[in-house]
Amino acid sequence: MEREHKTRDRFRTVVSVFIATVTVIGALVGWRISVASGAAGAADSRGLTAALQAANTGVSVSTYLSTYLSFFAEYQEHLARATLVERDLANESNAQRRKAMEDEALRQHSLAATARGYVNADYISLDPDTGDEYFDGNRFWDAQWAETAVTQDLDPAPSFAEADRARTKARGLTAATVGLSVALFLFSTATVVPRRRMKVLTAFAAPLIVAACVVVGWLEWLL
Amino acid sequence: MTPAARSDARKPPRRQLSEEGWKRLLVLLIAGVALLGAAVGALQVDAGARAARYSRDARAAMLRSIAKSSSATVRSAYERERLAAHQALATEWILERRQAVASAAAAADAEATAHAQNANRLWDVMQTSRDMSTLLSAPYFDEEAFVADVVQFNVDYFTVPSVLASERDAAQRAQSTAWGNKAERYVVTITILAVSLFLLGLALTLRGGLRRLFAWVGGLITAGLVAFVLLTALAATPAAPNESLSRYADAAGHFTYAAYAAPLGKTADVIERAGKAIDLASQAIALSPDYAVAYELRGLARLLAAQESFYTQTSGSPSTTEFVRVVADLDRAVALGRDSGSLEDQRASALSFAGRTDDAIVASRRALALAPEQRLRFGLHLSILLLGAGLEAEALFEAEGALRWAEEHPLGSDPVTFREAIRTLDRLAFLGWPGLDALEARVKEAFVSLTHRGTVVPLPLIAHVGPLRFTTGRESEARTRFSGDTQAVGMGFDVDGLAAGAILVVQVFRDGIEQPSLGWVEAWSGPPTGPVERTIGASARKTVFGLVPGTYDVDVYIDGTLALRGSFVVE
Repeated sequence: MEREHKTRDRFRTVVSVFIATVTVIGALVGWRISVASGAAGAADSRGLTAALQAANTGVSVSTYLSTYLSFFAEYQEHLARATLVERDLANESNAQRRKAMEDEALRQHSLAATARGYVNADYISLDPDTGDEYFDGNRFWDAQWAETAVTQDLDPAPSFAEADRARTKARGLTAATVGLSVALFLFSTATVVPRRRMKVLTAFAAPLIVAACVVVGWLEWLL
Repeated sequence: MTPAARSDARKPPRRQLSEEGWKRLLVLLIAGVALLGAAVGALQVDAGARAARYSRDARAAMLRSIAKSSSATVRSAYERERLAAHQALATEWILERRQAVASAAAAADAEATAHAQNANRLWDVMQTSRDMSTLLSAPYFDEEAFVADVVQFNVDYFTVPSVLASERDAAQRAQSTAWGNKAERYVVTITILAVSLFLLGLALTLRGGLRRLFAWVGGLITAGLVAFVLLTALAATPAAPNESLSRYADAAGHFTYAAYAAPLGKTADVIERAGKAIDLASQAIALSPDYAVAYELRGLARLLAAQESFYTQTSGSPSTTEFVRVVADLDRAVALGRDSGSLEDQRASALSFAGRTDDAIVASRRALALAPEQRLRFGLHLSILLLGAGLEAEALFEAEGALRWAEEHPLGSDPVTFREAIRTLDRLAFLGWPGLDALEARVKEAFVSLTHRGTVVPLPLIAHVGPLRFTTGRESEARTRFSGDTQAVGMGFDVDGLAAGAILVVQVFRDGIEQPSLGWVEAWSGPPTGPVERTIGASARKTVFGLVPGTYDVDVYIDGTLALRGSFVVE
């Protein structure tokens, strides 16, 4: 009788130690959940800052692009007028009329040159098929974007992905706490069920669950 | 043994839990509640994470949308500049062509050739110019009519992208709110679970009836919370498929086009675009049956098309069926949570056309209550409804109230509202309602007087003014019909006692649409008595453009009073 009593006491002591251990592990997991949630919030913040910077850059670059395109269009228009006057000039025999056309061609060339002066010449390219000049808006956009990206984060996607990963980690760790609660429930059951077989079964199942939760929690922590 | 005693003997003995049994039961219950708490905590973390993610995505999408919209504005400025440059070239081209024809007619061959050459060069330059602009290229530029469809460009570059971005944002915010609400419910659950845990823990220390009571209450609370958690977890979150949002945005684009074309008198365009908007909104609704704004948009598109058909009588006698469908759509939108003065105002209009005059008046008054800042617009609409109901005095009283409000709130009284009301009254003329002409004249005078004198009350007309007469300008004979190549029409009338400084406003309408470029305003500086001669037509400002064929109505106001009206036709 006394021996049975001692065995029962020992069992209760072991289960109590397990419960205490699981509680400590639960607290650790809770801490990691909090860290992961905080990291997710911080990454979201960084991502939104990048999105804001990208929006600002987009507006700024498109404004410059539009200005250059506008001056380039003016340049092309005056150039076309000058070229067409010079074409007709070749067939003109009337001296007075020739003089007027020469003046007009000079005027249009001058206006074209003025307009071209306001265009960023680095992005005026030649069409390989026609040989015509064109303003390479795509290259301008890419170059300006790349230049800004050196000093500012313009891509929110990596930060958002990082936030999503942190949230997934928090979810995984939360699932581990549910597992730990199941283990605690089983430990409690083991202390109160009268049948020996049930006692042993629950007492053995619970540490297995704890071990699984620890592994899951550890993996989530590391990954 | 008595029968009662025998009955008691047949009953199974009542099972009583031992002390140890109670202890075990309570320990198990406490452990179970703790387990439930952990599970609810996990659900809370998950719901919170989803809410945070949707909220973040919505904010990021809004930032992208603002950037896109700003870039589109810059782009639009460029395109408009190109359009203006192209128009300038086109004007030069027209002039050169005319000069070439004139020189040829005068047998000045050299000059004619030079002008023709210039015209040809300008034509080539125009083509170069068009290559550098989206607005001046297909599908926005019509090579035959030589006009750019600026409205369609704006719809494609502004309306549809911004509506789509806004709908996506709204959908993500709705998701965020739904998941946030779930997370809050889980927090409440955990709090109440703590109470349950406390009761069960207390029961461990007690005996007898109180222990039983606490154990029961704790158990019942837990059971109730399990049901609550299950309902919360299974509750659907509002999910609108992207395809549905896209269809809605496209529908909004067509509706915008139709709404823009309506005041310009382009009936065929209005009906065609409104029809497309209706089809696309229906598709959006089929994909998301509870899409409130899609019902609202479909209702408004149906209303626009039905009104246009009604006013122009293109579909025979007025049919109430379509207006009943409008009401059904708008009612559904309201049932799904849409509620605004504007919606109620449109609903009132639909109800009126559907023959439910009393309901229309109630809805119109509700619109005024919902949006008092729209007193002018909704007040004028209400007065038209009252006029339709035969309540002439009430209609004029309501209109007067709206106009007085406009005078007190000049910033809330936009010309669009006045013009829209004037056009509606003009289009309703065929119904012959008593008081319609008086109301139209009052609104017109109030508009002119408010714009040019700062008050809706015009000055009484003291001067005598003669009838309007129209001439070719070259001949003094009055006429009402002019040939198709008419560049300008002479307009004259006699005045007697017109004081210096009187404000004279001339408004010109072509086929019922006001032509601001043909009208003008002047402070009278001529003699008080005598004939007044003016010219209607862009040529008055020495340009090359003439009058487009159509029926022209001319209104002349003196100090806000509608003094003269006349009309002529350019064939």
